[in-house]
Amino acid sequence: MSTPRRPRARASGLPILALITAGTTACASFEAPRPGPSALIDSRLHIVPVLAAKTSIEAEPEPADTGGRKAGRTTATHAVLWTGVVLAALGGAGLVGFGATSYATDSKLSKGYNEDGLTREEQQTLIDRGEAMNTATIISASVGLLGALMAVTAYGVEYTNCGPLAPKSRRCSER
Amino acid sequence: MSRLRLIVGLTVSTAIGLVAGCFRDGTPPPAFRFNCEADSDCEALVDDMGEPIVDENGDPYTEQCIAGLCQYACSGSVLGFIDPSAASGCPPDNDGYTCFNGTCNHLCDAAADPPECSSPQTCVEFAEFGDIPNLDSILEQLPQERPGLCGVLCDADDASTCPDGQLCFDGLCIDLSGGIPDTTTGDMTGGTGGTTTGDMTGSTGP
Repeated sequence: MSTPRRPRARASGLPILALITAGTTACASFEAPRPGPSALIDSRLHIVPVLAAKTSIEAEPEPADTGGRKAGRTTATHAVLWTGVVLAALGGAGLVGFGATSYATDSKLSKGYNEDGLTREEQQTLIDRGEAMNTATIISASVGLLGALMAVTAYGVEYTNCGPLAPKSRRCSER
Repeated sequence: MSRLRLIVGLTVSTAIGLVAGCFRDGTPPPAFRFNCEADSDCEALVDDMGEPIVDENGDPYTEQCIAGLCQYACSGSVLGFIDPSAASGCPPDNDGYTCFNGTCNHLCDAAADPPECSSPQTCVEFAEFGDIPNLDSILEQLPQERPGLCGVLCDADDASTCPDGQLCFDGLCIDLSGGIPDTTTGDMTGGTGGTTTGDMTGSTGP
């Protein structure tokens, strides 16, 4: 009597089983894809979009007066550079001139001691002149060194910034 | 690389220029004497602190203008060179003063060029002094090739060219208190012990 009912029960359980299986194994396929790049990149590389993004400074639009400031900075750099060149030239010329005078004074004193003779007054005059020339020589050397440092520093700034005074030193056009 | 060489070259040449071009206040050589026209052109001897150096009597050693040069007058004999105990009247000095022909002088090398002595002084070789006992052994220890003393040879016809009590023989002032030396043989041993005082040649006075 009960035997003919079994196929009917088996037929009614199949849809339920199919529903449960589908619900537990295929749920992912039902999720909609997210918009944006993260949907295309492995979640373990989550930092990549951050690196790819611009910083706030970079992303910030350039102010309107940037060109004016850059021109002012270039002018100041050029002023420092040429001031340094002039100081280096003056210091070098002073170094040579005062150094030569010091040398001549030294030679004259030595010649006075060894050949020509000297009075005490002449000796004191030569010593005073020689010491003054020594001071002037040292000051000239210091000014020349300072000027050279200024010029080199300003040229370095120009070089780094691909300024007009150092255009051929780097491939500035490729930057 | 070439820029580095240029910078190094400029730095080295600047340093060399600074060193070579610098004035050096060198001290005059020991035999040097300042030119002068009067005693007022000369100075008293002072020490490193600027204090005057005085003799045994407490008087400062003061230069006089003698023969156109600032010099210290003395009355001792040139033989004081080999007799350290002899009183020469010369100031103490590391380089050693020797009283020669009335002035305190230093050793010199007659072979030096240019001459070490201030004109009109000349370097009078010890060989011209004749045979002086123990002189050869002393000269052997000296570094000079032809050692001598700076000074002006005296004039035999002018007694004022030597200190009082000394006479001029062959350009050398000799103290006669020990007897007349035999200048023909160069024996000058009798000339030691000069302690007389007198006016020096060419002194213009204070």
